[in-house]
Amino acid sequence: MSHDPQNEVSPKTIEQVYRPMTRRTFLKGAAASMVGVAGLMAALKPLLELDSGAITLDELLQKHYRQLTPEDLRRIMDNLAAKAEKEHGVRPTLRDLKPLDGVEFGYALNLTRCIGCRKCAHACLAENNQSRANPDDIEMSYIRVLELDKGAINLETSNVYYNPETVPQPDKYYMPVQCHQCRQAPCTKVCPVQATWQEKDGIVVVDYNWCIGCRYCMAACPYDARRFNYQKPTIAKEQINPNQTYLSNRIRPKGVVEKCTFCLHRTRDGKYPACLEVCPTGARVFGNLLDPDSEINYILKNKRVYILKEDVGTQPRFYYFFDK
Amino acid sequence: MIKFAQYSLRLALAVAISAGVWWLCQVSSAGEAQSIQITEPLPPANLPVVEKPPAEQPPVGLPTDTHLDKTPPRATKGLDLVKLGWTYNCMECHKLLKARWNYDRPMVEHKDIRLDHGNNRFCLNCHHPTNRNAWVDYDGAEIAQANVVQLCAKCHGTTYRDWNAGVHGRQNGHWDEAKGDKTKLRCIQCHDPHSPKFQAMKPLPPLTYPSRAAGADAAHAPHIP
Repeated sequence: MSHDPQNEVSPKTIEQVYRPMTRRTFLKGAAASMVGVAGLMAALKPLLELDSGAITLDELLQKHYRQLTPEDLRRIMDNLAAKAEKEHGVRPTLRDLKPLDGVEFGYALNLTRCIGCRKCAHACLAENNQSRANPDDIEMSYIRVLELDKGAINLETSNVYYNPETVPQPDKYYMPVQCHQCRQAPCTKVCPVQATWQEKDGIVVVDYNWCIGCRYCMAACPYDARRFNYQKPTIAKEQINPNQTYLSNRIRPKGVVEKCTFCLHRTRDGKYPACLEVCPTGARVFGNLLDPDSEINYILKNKRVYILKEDVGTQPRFYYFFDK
Repeated sequence: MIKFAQYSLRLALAVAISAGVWWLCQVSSAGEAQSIQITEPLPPANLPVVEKPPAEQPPVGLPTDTHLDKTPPRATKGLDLVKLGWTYNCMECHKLLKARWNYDRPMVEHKDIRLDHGNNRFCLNCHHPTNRNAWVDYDGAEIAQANVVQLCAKCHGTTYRDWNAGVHGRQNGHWDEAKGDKTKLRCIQCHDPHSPKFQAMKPLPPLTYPSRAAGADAAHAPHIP
């Protein structure tokens, strides 16, 4: 029998074919299965919480807000109110306000009049039960007042942390930025679980019980309008606003995104938003875009309107205008 | 003869007719003149009637907005009468002190007033020369104190237009008037009429950003209040 090199089997090939268990492959496999087990434990964590009583079975099996029957929602809100009372010591009047017929909200802000006093940003805190008792908290107000240099609208050189003795400073002007309730809202499009959507009256809302906290919406928002609860919200008992609705200012759980809702617990009751109520210069104008005689339509027809980042195509319902 | 009689009859008829027409004309023109006399000089009914005692300010704004009202209390009552020593009835002094357009000396009374209203440099551009409890209109008529918006509208027409539309100035309450009241502040509740530029104010504290989140360098930096 002649020697045929093709029939010769190299030791390396045998190792490749049979893959005996070496120390290295064992450790690899062990690490992978540890990760798998850890992932499974994390996925089952709600069940452990369920066992300890941190959440109820109802909450675990709760459907999306838009699939809830009114009775279910009532029951869930009663549970939430009871939970809030247990945790924060105040029982809120938790309601669910539906969009009004024939109403689409619009907001306009007079850049000539705004003096940058930040009263709106602080009224927002007082109204919307954001986390703020812990000094380590990131400022959760939905309004950020930017200080810009006169002569251009340059957001990149703007300053949020300005704190002079008096405002307005002679060479500056001020631009409060909050949720623009866009008609083409990028935040609602990127949400993987549809926990945020646009209501009939134009308000973009979040179902805090459905949000998984991935923060895609925060990355998608061109106006930096969303805030994330990195930790369990802290709020002093006497600062809690008991007038709450399911979709707006109820006290949020940890790990969810929240945002400005044009104070829908006020505006769907016919009232003005909290930020407008406190504006000392009357720079803020709020109204119904579908009512041709409303103040907001007067501005859109008669004033010089500026839309922030108009080029990104979000079509906001929040307008800036210039007017003496 | 008959012909002459006919002719004279015609003449008489013509004369009679023309006389009748002239009489009619006279009567009708007299009637016209009479009707003009009736409609003529009655004063227009919409002129503001201002009483001499100070006008009461109607309630405007929400109760929480009272601190914004820069107008002095218009009627001093009770103990304040003794404490202050005067009422806000301007005519108590000004019935003796005649108004002048210009003063060549600094004022010794009303020292707290510094008129800084642009080109509007004269007291009597706004204040009525003979009734200090009222404002003065273009034609010298009186504008009631409570109608101060009408006074400001004399010059600030476009602002008045926007205010009427609800775009200038502060509104509170309800955007949906079917559900509740909407209140509008009037000019002098935000603007001091003698110095109408909006006053600068101390801003509320800025957004805080925890030093821990700002990185190691900022960890020992003082916390932003």
